[in-house]
Amino acid sequence: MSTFREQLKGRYAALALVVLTCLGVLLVRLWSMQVLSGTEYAAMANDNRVREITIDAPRGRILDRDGNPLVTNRASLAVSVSPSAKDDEEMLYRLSALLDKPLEEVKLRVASTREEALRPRIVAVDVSRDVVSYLAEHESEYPGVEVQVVAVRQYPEGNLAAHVLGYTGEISEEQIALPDFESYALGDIVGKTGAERQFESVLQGDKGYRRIEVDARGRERHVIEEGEPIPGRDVVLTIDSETQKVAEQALVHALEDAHADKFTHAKAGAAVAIDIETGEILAMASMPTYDPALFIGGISEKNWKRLNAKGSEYPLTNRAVMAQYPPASTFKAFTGLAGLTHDVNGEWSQYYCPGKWIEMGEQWPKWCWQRTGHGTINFHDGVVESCDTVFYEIGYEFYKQGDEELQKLAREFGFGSLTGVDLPGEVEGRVPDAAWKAEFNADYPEYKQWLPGDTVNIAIGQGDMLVTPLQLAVAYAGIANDGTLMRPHVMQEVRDETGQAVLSYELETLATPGVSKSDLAVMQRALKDVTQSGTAADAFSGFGASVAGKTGTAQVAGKDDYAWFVATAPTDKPKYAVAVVIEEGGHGGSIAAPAAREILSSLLGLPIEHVRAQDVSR
Amino acid sequence: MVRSHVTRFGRWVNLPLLVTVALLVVFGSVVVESATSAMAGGDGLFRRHLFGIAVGIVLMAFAWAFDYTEFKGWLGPLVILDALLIISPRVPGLGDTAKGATSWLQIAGFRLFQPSEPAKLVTIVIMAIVIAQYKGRIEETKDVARVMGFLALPLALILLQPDLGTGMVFVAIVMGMLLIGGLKARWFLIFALIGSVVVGAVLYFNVLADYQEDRLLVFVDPTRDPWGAGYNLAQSKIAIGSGELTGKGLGSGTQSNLNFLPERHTDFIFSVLGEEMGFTGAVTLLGLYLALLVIALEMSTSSRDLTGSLIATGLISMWTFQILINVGMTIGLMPITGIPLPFMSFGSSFMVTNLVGTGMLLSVWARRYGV
Repeated sequence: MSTFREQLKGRYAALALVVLTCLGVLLVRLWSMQVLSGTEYAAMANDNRVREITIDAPRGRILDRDGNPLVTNRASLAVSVSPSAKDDEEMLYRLSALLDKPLEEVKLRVASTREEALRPRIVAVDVSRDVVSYLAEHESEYPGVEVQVVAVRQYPEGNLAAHVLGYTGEISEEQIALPDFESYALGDIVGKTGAERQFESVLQGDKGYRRIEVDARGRERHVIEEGEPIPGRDVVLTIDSETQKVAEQALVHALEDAHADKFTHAKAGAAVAIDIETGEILAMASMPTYDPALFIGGISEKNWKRLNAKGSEYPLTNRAVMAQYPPASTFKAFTGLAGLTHDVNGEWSQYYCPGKWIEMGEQWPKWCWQRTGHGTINFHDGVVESCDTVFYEIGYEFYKQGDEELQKLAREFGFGSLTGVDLPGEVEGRVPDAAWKAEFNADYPEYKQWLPGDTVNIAIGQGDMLVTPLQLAVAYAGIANDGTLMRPHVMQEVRDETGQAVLSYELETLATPGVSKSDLAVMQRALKDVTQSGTAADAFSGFGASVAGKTGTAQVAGKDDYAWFVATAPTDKPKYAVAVVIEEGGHGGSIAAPAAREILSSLLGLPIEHVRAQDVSR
Repeated sequence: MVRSHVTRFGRWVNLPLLVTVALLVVFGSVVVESATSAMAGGDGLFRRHLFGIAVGIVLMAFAWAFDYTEFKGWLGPLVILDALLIISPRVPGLGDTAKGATSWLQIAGFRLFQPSEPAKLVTIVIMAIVIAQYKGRIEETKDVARVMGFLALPLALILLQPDLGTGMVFVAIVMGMLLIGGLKARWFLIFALIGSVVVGAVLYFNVLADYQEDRLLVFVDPTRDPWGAGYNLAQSKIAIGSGELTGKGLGSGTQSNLNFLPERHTDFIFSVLGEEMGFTGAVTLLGLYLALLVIALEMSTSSRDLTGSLIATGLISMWTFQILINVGMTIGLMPITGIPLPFMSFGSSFMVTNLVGTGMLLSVWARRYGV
């Protein structure tokens, strides 16, 4: 057995070992944290103290062609709720009562995953001062609730041109995935439809940011770095506010007229006015309309359902470009031009209209709208009186030639393809031909074959032919403009905040159909006589300018007739083209033509008056 | 055994120890100053820190001058003093409660000091006297029982406060002293066994206060509840790690100055040092501690008697354990307890205790050749 003195050396060695081990363990751990992983911890320390706040750029305004604001911004007091408060049912209940909003809607917005995780959710805008001061006084009872000032859209002209302007809303998850929206964050307000959507990239501007240092309680200590937002740019439209107002009013009048004529289903329609030489859209109206202000701060569930309900006639749809209709007799101008171009007929070619047309065989009779017949009638008068028989004959001749020259000419005038207007959602319309029919009826072999009746139907703008009001206006502008179609557009220029134009629309020729000037002149003369002595003479009696135009009364299965009128004026130096369609409105001459007259009087600087016409021809 | 070449100065003064302790105190003051500078009332706190150092130096001189061998005849009174110190905060009108533990002595609403701090030193002296009586041979069960009985009294009273961390310090002190005092190896195994059973029982019967249990659970899984109990640990680790090699500079620690670090001038002073002075600063501090402990070990072995060796051993154990626990908790190696860092943390009672401990070391050193 060793003595205690000897043992003690070993015991001190053990104690020293314990001391060294303790310090050694700490040293190794510190080396690993500070030297090996130091950068990661440094990044975490920065995450702790640095907050980046994005500053929304003021959205650009939308102005009419004279610089009058149609869409601007205003400051609004908004109530936001931090997403961390989403489970505080009791508080949200009190808040919803205070804001007079359904609890479900408030909860839905607070719980929205469509926004950045930490961004406060706006639950109400345009909150009253009373509510704001109540919240300020009872701050502790509403944890996570904040009042902030946000910029929202303002519509100085109310719902004027609502379809052209469009509305804004929170960016959708589908949108944010698109390459154009790379720099956007969930919760950003973007243009959803119309010009707001079309010119989103210039209206949006560039967000600013503020990088701040915060303490442990999230209070700002100082600004580390700041980047000013770059305001969005103003978009100047080609729209003329005055004419736009008249156009919208004209549609209202037309619907009233239709109701007075016992066409009680008439609820919708569209009108478009363009500058023939430039393609500028001066007015574009669609009925029924909506109030874009409903979308400020997020549209309520109730309003959204109402605007999209069956039977609502879908007020959000811009019928001037997003709806397609059979052009009916308005298409006869193009059938006529095809006939003139391919020498199927001349200006004074003679026809005989018996009322009942049986050229395709006794078993396939076609009727002229004038069931008693027009008797002997020349081509010119066939246009003026809109005699169906004349165009049955021409159409049948094209069928017999078998080259689909009628459809080719229609396409040359822009039918069946997009005009490329700078508005979202435009549809193509349709110019039916044999290939189309075969494909369309692929599953019904018995209907695949192109028949004489198909071409004959196209000749009077019926059958499977579909056009948009804008296509029709552009095509008629082409006739009046001696065969040059300009691309329609609503954007005139983009201005920076100083009012300097930074981008101007460059005029573009859409098409130059292969039609001779003399043939166009034949058609121009006939269309002029439509308003002088033909189907629109009643509507244009006493009008202070000479107008070329064409009525149309489209038959749609299961519906009342759709009323059309398309016109260009003045005839000596054509400047404007106008197209009007009234769904289930009845006759073109009595319902649509007076509306077109009203719009033209605004364009031509004539006294604006609404006339009633009695013409019930086609 | 008087050596003629040893001067009077050389006999009394251990320069390496004094220099090391001076460097530690200065180092600590610099970090405390940096930690408190951005705090409301930080200047006052720093002045209190300096006041604690001043008082500590005076008391250190007394301890140094006092012949520790005199303690041998005072065992009974020392035990009573120990008990009184520990029990005093629980005497109605004398105690104050902080963080669930009653550990402050206050008179007329004025906080005097934390009696458990000087109680550590008193316990070291008591245990040194008792263990030394066995002359390096503690083997019999009844002897072990008697020795442990002297520990049991202060320990029980501390645990009543309840202050688990300080209780652990007492246990660590005594274990180190028993190692040098000659406790047989198998007894350490038995203690380890008893310790495990006690820890198991404490956890099983849910004896711990909620905050203590949270701290332990967070130690096991630091990602648990990062905004609650895990917050302190997470922020401390970020502070230290982000100090990297050379630190962010004194007064420039973002974790510290922006209040992400809790208790930064007391329990988490090392986090401030780690953040602002980096690995370099941390290594410097650990180097100073190593010097302190090596010098103390040297003094312990050169003591003229076992009592002196044991007193030095008790101080070594106390410092080593507190360094391990405190630094360990700031870097996630140890559970979070309220144990401060020797010579560094703000707190006058603690600073005075460390300086008086230094005085006791010097007392043992000065009498190495006999009185």
